[in-house]
Parts: sequence; structure tokens; C-alpha cells
Amino acid sequence: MPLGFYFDLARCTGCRACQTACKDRNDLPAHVVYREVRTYQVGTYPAASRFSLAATCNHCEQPACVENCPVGACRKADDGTVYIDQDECIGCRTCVAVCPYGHPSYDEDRRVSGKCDACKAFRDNGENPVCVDACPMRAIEFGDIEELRAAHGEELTSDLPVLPSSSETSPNLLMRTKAQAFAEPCRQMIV
Amino acid sequence: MSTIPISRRSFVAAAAAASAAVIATGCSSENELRAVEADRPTQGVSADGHRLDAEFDPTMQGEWVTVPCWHNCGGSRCMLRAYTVDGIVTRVKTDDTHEDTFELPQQRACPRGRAQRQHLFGADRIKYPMKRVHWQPGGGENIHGELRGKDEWERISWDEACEMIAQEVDRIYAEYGNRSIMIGGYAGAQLENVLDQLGGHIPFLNSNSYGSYFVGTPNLGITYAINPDINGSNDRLDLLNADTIVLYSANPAWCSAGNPMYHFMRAKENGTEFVYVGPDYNFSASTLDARWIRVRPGSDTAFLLAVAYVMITEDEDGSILDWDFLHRCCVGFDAQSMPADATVNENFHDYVLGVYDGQPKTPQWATEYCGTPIEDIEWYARLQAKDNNVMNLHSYAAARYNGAEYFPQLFLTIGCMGGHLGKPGNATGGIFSFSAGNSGEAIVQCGAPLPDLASMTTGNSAIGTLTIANPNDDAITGPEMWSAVLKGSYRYMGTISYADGSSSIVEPEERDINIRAYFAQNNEGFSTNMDINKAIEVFRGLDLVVCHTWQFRPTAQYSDIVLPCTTRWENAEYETGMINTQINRDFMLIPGTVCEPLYEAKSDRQFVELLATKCGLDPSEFYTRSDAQRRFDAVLTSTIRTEDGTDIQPLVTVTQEKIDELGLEGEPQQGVIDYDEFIKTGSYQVPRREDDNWTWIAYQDFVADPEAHPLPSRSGKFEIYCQSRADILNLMGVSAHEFKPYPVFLQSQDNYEATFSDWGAKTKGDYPLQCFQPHYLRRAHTILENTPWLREAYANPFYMNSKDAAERGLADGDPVLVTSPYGKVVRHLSIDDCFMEGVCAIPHGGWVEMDEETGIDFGSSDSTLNGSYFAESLVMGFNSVVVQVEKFEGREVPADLDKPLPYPTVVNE
Repeated sequence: MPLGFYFDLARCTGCRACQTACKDRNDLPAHVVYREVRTYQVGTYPAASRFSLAATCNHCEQPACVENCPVGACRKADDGTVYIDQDECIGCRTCVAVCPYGHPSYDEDRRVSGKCDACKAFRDNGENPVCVDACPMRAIEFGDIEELRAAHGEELTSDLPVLPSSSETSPNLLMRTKAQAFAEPCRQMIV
Repeated sequence: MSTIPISRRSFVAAAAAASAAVIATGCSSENELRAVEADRPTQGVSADGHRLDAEFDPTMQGEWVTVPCWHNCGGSRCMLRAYTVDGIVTRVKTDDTHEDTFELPQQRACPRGRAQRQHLFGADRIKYPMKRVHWQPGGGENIHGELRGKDEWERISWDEACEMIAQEVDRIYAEYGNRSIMIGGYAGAQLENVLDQLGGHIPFLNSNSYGSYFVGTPNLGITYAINPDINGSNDRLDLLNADTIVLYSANPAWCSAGNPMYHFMRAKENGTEFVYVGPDYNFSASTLDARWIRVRPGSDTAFLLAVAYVMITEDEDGSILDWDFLHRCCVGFDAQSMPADATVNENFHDYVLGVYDGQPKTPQWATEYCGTPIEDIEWYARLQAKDNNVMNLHSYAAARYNGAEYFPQLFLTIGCMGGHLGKPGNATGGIFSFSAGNSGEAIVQCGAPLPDLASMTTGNSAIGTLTIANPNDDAITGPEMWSAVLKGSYRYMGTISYADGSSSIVEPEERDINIRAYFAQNNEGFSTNMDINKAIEVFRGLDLVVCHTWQFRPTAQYSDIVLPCTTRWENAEYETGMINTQINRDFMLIPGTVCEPLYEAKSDRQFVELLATKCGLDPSEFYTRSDAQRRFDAVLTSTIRTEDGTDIQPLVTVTQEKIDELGLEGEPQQGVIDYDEFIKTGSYQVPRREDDNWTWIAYQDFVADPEAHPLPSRSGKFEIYCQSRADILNLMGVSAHEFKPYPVFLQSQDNYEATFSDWGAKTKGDYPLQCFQPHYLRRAHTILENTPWLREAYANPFYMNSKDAAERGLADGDPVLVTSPYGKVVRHLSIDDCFMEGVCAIPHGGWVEMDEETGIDFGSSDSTLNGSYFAESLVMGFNSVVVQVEKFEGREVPADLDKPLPYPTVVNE
């Protein structure tokens, strides 16, 4: 069965511990981000609120990056997760352009693109991706998507108004949400 | 599989090369480990092109070391572990020493902890001692004080630096006397061990984070343990028993990062409703879907007096008020419960009804000040009814305003009126910092080093450094700390103990003072106290400023001699202080180190030993215990509560054999964990159970039997009428207001009223907006501000409501000029409709970056906008600021992430 992330949007405080732990694990320079937390403002004063979305690669069933990479550097691993072999990447940025989630991140200095590999080395050694174990709210999990669905109930979704339709690439992403994530007006805010 | 071996030597060499390439304006914003470590990857690549981390790479032999996250972060002292290969840290993780369960939750770190590797090993580390090029010892013209903050730097040796400092200290004491040297900060500095033997130093009395909770808190009956009122609320297990939790001006998501929000989320998922009171619907409130009760900055007493009015007037035979609690556990609520020491024949109940001033404190009256809708005031009052299980949990933010002196007493009074103290599911108390979501006396308590000399103490601070006593009895209060230097005198008014909150406020006297030198070790007082423009003027007038630091922080930038300091990841020096006191009650840490000191860095103690020798002192006379012994002392004195909860016992089992093996001093003892097992992770956490004997319900014993368990107040009860606290405030004598022994309405400077030129006609003035200073998750006060990963995660904008922005033609992301009566900053705007109209905010702790020509601080220190003056007492009203905001078009304003990090220009590197 496919592997993917579970994200509990109703728990997320938007603290960005996952984002920072990911930068640390992957030694990422400024402007190269594999896991990004975005915060959205919804509603109007005085009933305004916000929610945060901690997002990374969704290790899609039909990944646009894999389908469009001209040199095959972007591919699926033996377990179905999507990764970029940076030794083969030519830095053309096609993957950055075609991913509807805007996920792969281009490193100007090294002239290669990179992305979340769901911490393959960790999982090969029986551990979780670092973001999972980093979250102070225990809002991120990774695993067999059907097992995650079974563990967290049927009220889960892969779609949000701020995300592209899941019909585009069939993301392996399950989210527990709350009303704010569907409220209007909604815009990303500077935190 | 391909990996490139790493070595400690290549790390340091690469770091030195990187520093040589640093440009005049500062470090590259990259400041990534890659920059420091050149092209030496710490990771390999697997056969199929995946990243292979050092910890899984069989060619690398590393180990996990528990490392401290020791800053004054406000968090719960989380756990960090560093994977270390030959002295190089390749990755940091958080607690995984056990499964994550409700009984034993992992102590998970916030983004600041996760960014420590970049913070501590960045290219902007201070690498060697430096002196300012145009500063010469000897005072007079040769100091060129006007160049502080602008000058270039000259690399010197430790020996030269300490020689110069010793000569200057000698000269300054000789010329100006023993009351001429300041040491910044409140937690003490080991430098005191030298200065206090030679002449002494001038300390500050600063209300810090606590605001008005700093003054007379025990007098009210409130507990004081390390910090005021932090044990006044219940532990994490009891959160689940509350029907409603009120977060009063509290934002644990940003101010107590780590596990605290998880504890609150567990309560929410268990059915507890949340309410948030404050001027902005903050990240904690929106995460917990709290009901927002909006109250303008600094107007909390108006709001709470109206809440009291509704509770009193709607009460029918105890339907709302807990009369039993008010009369059994409190004094001064009404005429029949006056304390014996009362000198004023007035009480709170009658004041609220308007008996004394003809003004009933109705919601209609209050809303003009606090802006809270009348129906919200009424709803909040009914929520407080005695049969509801309510936890009223405050931070100190509402106490950090001018005129907030009555807030602690009034907040307590509302809780007492509904009887929300001393029983499960109910509380009225603080959730500051490490106690957030898990308050209460420690179950496991980290020990501390024993003093080198019996005469050493932590001085006035429970979290302080063990030092020799200061021969000077001065204490300059926070509002005067800069003006005292400029005018050559200050108002001495005694002191208040940081350790237990006890007051020794005395009849004030104006004392002459002539400050000629400032030492910064273990603090950033220069830029974190009010009014940085005045602080710069002060610094530029001194003979000598010395800063011991690992980063080119604001104090260093305005110093004459900068000395490289080790971080806690590279020295084994075990100190008293925040690691062993500011930690949640379930958990303790005695962390390790990962490498030798970088470059020429010296620990606090090593610097002090060198300076002492130059000053003719013998450091072995006052440093009698080795670093290893200090650390061992801390292990031996660590304790755990006994299972029945009534006593404490040693935590760690240490045998005579082990003591002999370590070659250290100590007596064998029996604890609950063996020494070797403990030292493996340097941590211990106690699993909790609902039926254990460690549950903390604040004031439970007192409420059950007030006479048998008296509070620290004079009456032994909660003092809604508190003569002693009013006497303390009136004795300070800086306010035109005569303080009442019960909480009353008090207007003060730079609050809402100050936004009007004509209050009666409601005509706005030159500074029509209120601006407060939220703690910010990008940094811990000022620490970690130089960390690109955090700058990327948090943009540090200026926050404002869309209506106020639209009135000024401002769009989201615009650079804006924020002007207060005291200073100017430039930031990018974040339009946030979770702010009240007329209210905006500047995140606390930015590093000042003053443009001398325009007077604009492009680094946006909140202290740039603050004035410094006595408002109503010695309490510092950090959050009382009024501003105007306009679009800034003077020049391009890059994002902080794209700016170079501050780094000295060194002429002889």
C-alpha cells in the first residue's frame, strides 16, 4: 500500500519546529525549504482567525515531478516515495514548475533541485521522518496511508481550498481539519 | 555509497577560512553550516541516490549527546540531543529516550531548539578578543565614545584584553570610587567575583518579565517560587478537569513553546472550552478555537472591575459569588471581612458599586476604556459563577503596562469571587514560561553546584550565579537605569527579592552615582530594557564597555572590548541558573558537551580566572571546585518526591566505588536511578498517573483549612484589601496617585488615553495607535536572532488590523515606518485582523540596527519605541507604547533573511 503523511491541522500551532528540524536534517541553505509551514488568515474582524498548514511532498500516486523530469533524476523509490537523485539532477527546475503543490525546492548555489524523501534513511533504519518526531503537537504521522486512515477515522481529507485538487496528482496526504480551513475570506499571512 | 570523512581539524580550519571571507558589512546571510564547514558534507549518499545521514552511515563513528537548550526562552526546558562525530554535530533531535505517552510525554523542542546547531556553529561566531580601534585605555579623549556602534575592530590577545580591563578597573575605582561600574542583567555574572573583591558593582532592580507581579505578590497571599504566581495554577493532569480554561493575555504557543500547548490541546480534545482575553486573538487562541474577549492594551483593570460589577449585581444568594470562599479564605472583599491592619475604612465591594466615587463600575463605564463589548463583559462575568469549573490562567503580559499595579490583585479577586482556587478543575494563577500547562512544585528537582565559598550566594536571584557578596548596597530601578547614568543620581528605594518576592522597599533617597564602566556577561541588558536611544547615549559617555559573547549582539556592537565566549555545548562548566530551575515539574536535565571550545573562546569562569590574576587576585581562592565537581554536586543534590508525595529524597544512586572512580568529592547515597544510567542521557522524567500522589492543585491545603495552612500574606489569607502592598507602592512615591489597598481604576502614561489629543471629544493625536510587544518564537528575547533558519521561518513583521492599514493606504508586506514619541523602526507590515482596531504589535527582541542619520532602527528593537520613566512605581511598562504608522519609502528594505548578519570589521585579521 502507498506511503504518505497524516497531518492534524486542528492541532497545528504553526510553530515551524517541523520545518526547522527538516532544514537541520537536510542542511538546507536560505530559500531552500523541503517542509514549509504556511499560516492563513480567515474571516473578518472581530471574528477573524487563522490556521496553519505544515506541508511537504505528498509522495503522489501520479507525481508530476516524476512524469516531467527530463533526465529521470526525479523518481519513485522502491517503497513508492518520491525523491530526487541530486547526482543526476541537471537543475532545469521542471519539477519545481510542474508540482501543483510547489514542493521541490531549487538550490541556487548548488544548481540542483531537492525535495523531501520522507527521510528514507531513517525509515530504512526503523525510524520516523524527522518532522514526525519533531512535532510538539504530535500532529504529523507517516506510514501506510490506509493504516493511517483506519487509525484516524473517516473524517479525513486530501483537499483544502488552499490546495490544488487531489485529482491532479493523487497525493498520499490525509488531513484532519477544522472549520477555519474552509472559511472565507482566506489568505496567506506573514508571520 | 560515497562519504567524505570529517575531522575536527577541517571544521575549525574551514571556519577560520569562512570568517576571513566575511565582508565588511557582516556575515553572508547564508550563515549555514555549509558556509562554516566549506564543502565538507556531513552526510553521504546511498547507492540509489538518497541522502544518507551520518547517524546511519557505518563509516562514521558518532554518538548522541544530550545538549542544553539553555536560553531564557520561556519554554519548558525541552530536550535536545546532538549526533556528534569527532566533535562535529551533524544533526539535532529532540527527546526520544522513551515512548511518547500521556503519562510520560517526550519533552519535544520548539523550532528554536531545532535551530541550535546553526545558531551555535554559525560563521558569525566571535572568534578571538577584539578591541575597538579608536578606543584607548585611560579615559578622556582617547576613548572616542561617540564611535561606539560604528567603529572598526582590532584583534588582540586574551592577555592584552585582560591586562587592559584590569588597568581600567583599577583606574576607574581609583578616580571615581567603588560605585562606578555596572553589571547588566538580573541573573548575576561570574565577573562579580572579581569586581566585588576589588570594589563592587552597581546592580539593577528591574521588574523584567513580571511587570507588576514583581511588587508585593506574596503580600497578596500569592505563591512565589522562582517567579511570582507560577505555582498558582494546577498541573497538566488537572487541566482535563476544567470546564473552561481562560488564557488571560497568555500565548503559550509563542511564549512557552515545547510541550505546553500540547497539554492544553489534550484538555481541548477532552472537551474543555477555551476563552482568550487580550488585545489580539493570538496563535494560542486560534489554535484552541478560544472565544475571544477583546480588551485594549493596558485597560485590564477597567474590564475586570466591570466583570466584578456584573458578578456582584447579578448575584442572587450566592448564585455567582462564592461567599463562603470570600469570607473564609479572603480579607477585604466587603465591610464584614476587613483585615486587622486596615487603615482605610473602604472595601472592594462598595468601591465597585460606586459608593466612594459615585461611579458604579458598570460595563458601560468600562467599555470606553477597554473597548470590550458590553455583552462580552457580562458573558465573562457569568462564566466566573461559582458552580462553573473555571481556570483563570494569566501570563505577565497584562502586568507589563504603565498603571498595571492593581492587575495582580484584581485578577486574583475575580478568581476569589467565584471561588476558583484550591479545587480540581479550578485555578486562578500564572502559567508563565516553564510552568505553562504544568504548574506546581517540582516532582523531580535538578540539583545545583555547591558554593565554592560558604559566603557565596545567588544574591538577589533564585536563578542567579553563585557569587561573592557585592559590597555596594545600591540598586537602580529599571525605569531609571539609563537616566541615572546621564544625570549622575538616582532614586534609591531599597530592593525586592527575585528569589521570594519579599519587599525591602525603604523610604527613597536620591543618591549620587557616577557610572564609568559597563560589563555584559550572561545578559543583553543594553538592548532589552526600555529606551535604546538613551542606552546608546549612556554607552557613548562611558570610559569602558566590555562584552563577553559568542555572537556580535547589540551590546557587543556598542562595546570597547569584546571577548569570545564558549557556548554550553562546548564547555563543561556547570552553573546554577536556568537549566536547573526553569524546567517543568516532571523533568530535569544535566546535559553534556559535544566539542572543545571553538576558536579562542573561553567560558565565563576561564575569563574570570584570567582577569582575576591580572587584577592581583588568586582565582583558586574563590574557585575551589572543578567544573566536574560542580556538575557532580548538581547530580548529588537532585531530588525526587517520595511516592506518598510528602517528602523529597535523592534522585540518583551513587556508590562510594563510583565516587572513587570519578575522583570527586561526595557521600554515597541511595536514589531511584543509578548514576551510570542517569548520566547516559543526563535526564530524568517521572511518569505521571491520575492516581499518583503528585497532582498539584494550587492552594488546595489552604482552602481546605486556611488557619492550618496560612498564605504568605500578613493575614494569612488572600488579601483583596492589602494594606502592606499599598504601603510599599506608596512608599516608592513616584506616582501622583495614592495607591488604595484594594484594586481601583488607574489611568497612566502611554496607554489608550494617550492616543487622543482630546479625550473628551475623542480626537486622535499624533500617536493614534497602541503598540505592544509580544514574545516571538523566532528568538528567546534577543538570543537566536542571528539564526537564518529561524529568520526564514519567522519574518518579524509589524502587525496591524486591516482597517488601520487601509486608513493609511498600507498593503500587506509594505515597508512601514513606526514612530513613537521615543524612537522609530522600519518593518514589513503583516495585516492581521486578529488584532483589535487601533492596536498593533512589534515582536520583542529584535537587534537594534540604528541608522545614525535618520534615527531609524532598521533592526526594530522594541526598546527603540519605549520611553523610560517612572510611571506609577518601579514597574516597567514595556507594553505601554503609542505610535503612528506610515508607509516607508526612504530606501529598499530587504527581508531579514536576506540581510547580512552583524559581524565586526576587523582591521588586522
